[in-house]
Amino acid sequence: MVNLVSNFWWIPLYPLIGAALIAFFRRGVSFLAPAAVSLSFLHGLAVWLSPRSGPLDHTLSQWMPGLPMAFHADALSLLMVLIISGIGLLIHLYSLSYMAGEDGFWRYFACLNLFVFFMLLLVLANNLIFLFAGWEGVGLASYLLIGFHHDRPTVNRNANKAFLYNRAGDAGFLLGALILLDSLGSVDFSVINAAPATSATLAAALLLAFGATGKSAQLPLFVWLPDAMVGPTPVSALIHAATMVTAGIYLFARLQPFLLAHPEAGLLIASLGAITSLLAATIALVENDIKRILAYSTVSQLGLMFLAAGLGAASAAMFHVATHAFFKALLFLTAGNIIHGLRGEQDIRFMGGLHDKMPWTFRLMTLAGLSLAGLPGLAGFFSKEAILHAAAAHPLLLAMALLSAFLTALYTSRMLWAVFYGSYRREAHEAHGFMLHSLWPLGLGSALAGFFGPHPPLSWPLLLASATASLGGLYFGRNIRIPGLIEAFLKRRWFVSEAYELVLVTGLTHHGSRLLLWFDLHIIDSFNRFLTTLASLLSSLASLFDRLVVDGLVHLIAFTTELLSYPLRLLQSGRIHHYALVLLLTLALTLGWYRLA
Amino acid sequence: MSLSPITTGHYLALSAALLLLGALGLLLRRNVIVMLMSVELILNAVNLNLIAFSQHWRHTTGQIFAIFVICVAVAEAAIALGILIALFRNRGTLLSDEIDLLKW
Repeated sequence: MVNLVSNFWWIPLYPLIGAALIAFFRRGVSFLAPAAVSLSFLHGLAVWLSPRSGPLDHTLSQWMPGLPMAFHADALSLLMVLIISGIGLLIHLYSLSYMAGEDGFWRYFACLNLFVFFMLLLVLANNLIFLFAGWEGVGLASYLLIGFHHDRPTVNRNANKAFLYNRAGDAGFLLGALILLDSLGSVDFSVINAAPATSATLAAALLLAFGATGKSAQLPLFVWLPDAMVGPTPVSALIHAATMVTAGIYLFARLQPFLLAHPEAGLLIASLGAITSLLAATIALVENDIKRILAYSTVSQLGLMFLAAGLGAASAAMFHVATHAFFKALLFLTAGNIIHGLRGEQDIRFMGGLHDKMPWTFRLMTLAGLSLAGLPGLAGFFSKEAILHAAAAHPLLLAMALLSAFLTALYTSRMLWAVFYGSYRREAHEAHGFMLHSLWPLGLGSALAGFFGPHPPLSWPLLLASATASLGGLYFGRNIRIPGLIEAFLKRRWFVSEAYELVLVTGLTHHGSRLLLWFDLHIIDSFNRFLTTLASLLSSLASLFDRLVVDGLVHLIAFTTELLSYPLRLLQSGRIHHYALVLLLTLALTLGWYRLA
Repeated sequence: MSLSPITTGHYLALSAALLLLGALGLLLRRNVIVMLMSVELILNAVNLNLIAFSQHWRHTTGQIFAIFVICVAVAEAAIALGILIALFRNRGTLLSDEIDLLKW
């Protein structure tokens, strides 16, 4: 009998095998995708339910010296595993209906399975670098799935945008991890969490926070998430609402003692989260595309989680991650039903009166929306309450969180009224099959998940404020009228993209390239010129030596020889008489010599 | 007075005289053709020597050698005259003072 608990590291492998098989066989095996995810879910559930004495560890192999491929499972990891594989399973089932008949059906499921694999790897990794492998992998899978309809205009552009914004964050993450590796000698979470605070670890904490803002779509890197909505709706539900974007929160929860040792970084994270939350909520108020409303809502809710995680209340943040996963996945999937039912219409101005055309979608979406808005008694209320409680010590942050909660209720109410009430505008039909029935567990979770979380001690003022914000927002959201000027401003999304355009594209790229050109022309080239001059100087010295010393020696020898040979030349007169005389004299002398001797 | 018989010594004396004439002609004359003629004189002095000794010793080798020398002299004269004609065509002179191409 295989020991499920000690072999917990198999959990991420099922979807990987599924993805490989689907990518290999392509036709007719897409059912393997939900099967693989359900295996992960069941395995995760078995490990979760079985008695454990402590965290589980398993080292698969030594990846690099000092960097093992090590898995680690504790309550936090397993909670994430259950969220990912559980919600992932429902979304896989939903996709079987939603994506039926699409070209590239198999590609969709292979990528979806690949995503689940990387996400599970991310939450089960035991060190930052191994986590980074999953971190990068979910970015890749997200890119592939956003760009699923790559033949449609703007899809590729938005997929690239999402990928590049993620890359910017990833660069920060990697730098932070490497700083930690350098200063601590290890990136195991246990080592990092026990490390004393120094300036190097503070820098690493800030860089990791920057990396988390990329993956979790917070200021300054949040603009990619709404544009990622060009992907198929189940992808938006799984990746861009329930799982991948919570990777940043998971990171903070995993490194909570480390963050507590650096309260400056935590406060920065919390402030970023609060500001993002407000900003995104105001934009959601004026958006008309139903998926973009939900996307901005996701950014806003992630901001609240950042707020809690930054202030050290990781349990509250994770609580909100869990409840948010339920109701936001449900919102996206019901939105998918509506879009499907209206044959691709996403603009809420062209919806309306759908509550009796799509009764079950209406009920489920309203339930999820009310949970998002924090209606007392539903899941969202409890987790938001936990976050507000965590922010209680910082009045400003608390006020921002409350305002954000109010705005959340406001835009949710606006969206629900616009979609389901008013006059009929389109023919529509109710969803059926998996597209409806995979939603029940999500509805159950949206309603009841709040009762199982870590509840903070009761605080009546907070409870009242939260309930008031929620109910007030829901009430005023029906007939909200926003002054035109503010609406126009919000529609430009606080000019964040434009600011990036101005700063990064025009500022950095344009002026940066001119600066680089100047640098090239003046610094690099003058260095080159200096080298050239130096080389030519040296070579002229060498040439001087060659001409004076080497050639001089040769010429000296030649001249000496010529000088010495000059008398000998005189013997060669060219006159034949001289030669004849010499001949005869020699003859005479030789004969005379014989005669005398 | 009766003439004393002609002995080998007389031949040798004549030969020595011819050799002297030839050598002087070779050294003193400037015309290359005349110099060539002087060389012929020297060769004939040698021939006379060879024949004189041949008679003296009653041995024919000297005479054969003399004929051999005459043959070589003929060949040499032919070549030399050919060279001189070519020389004259090129330089327009046969004065040995002006023919000093062997110089460095």
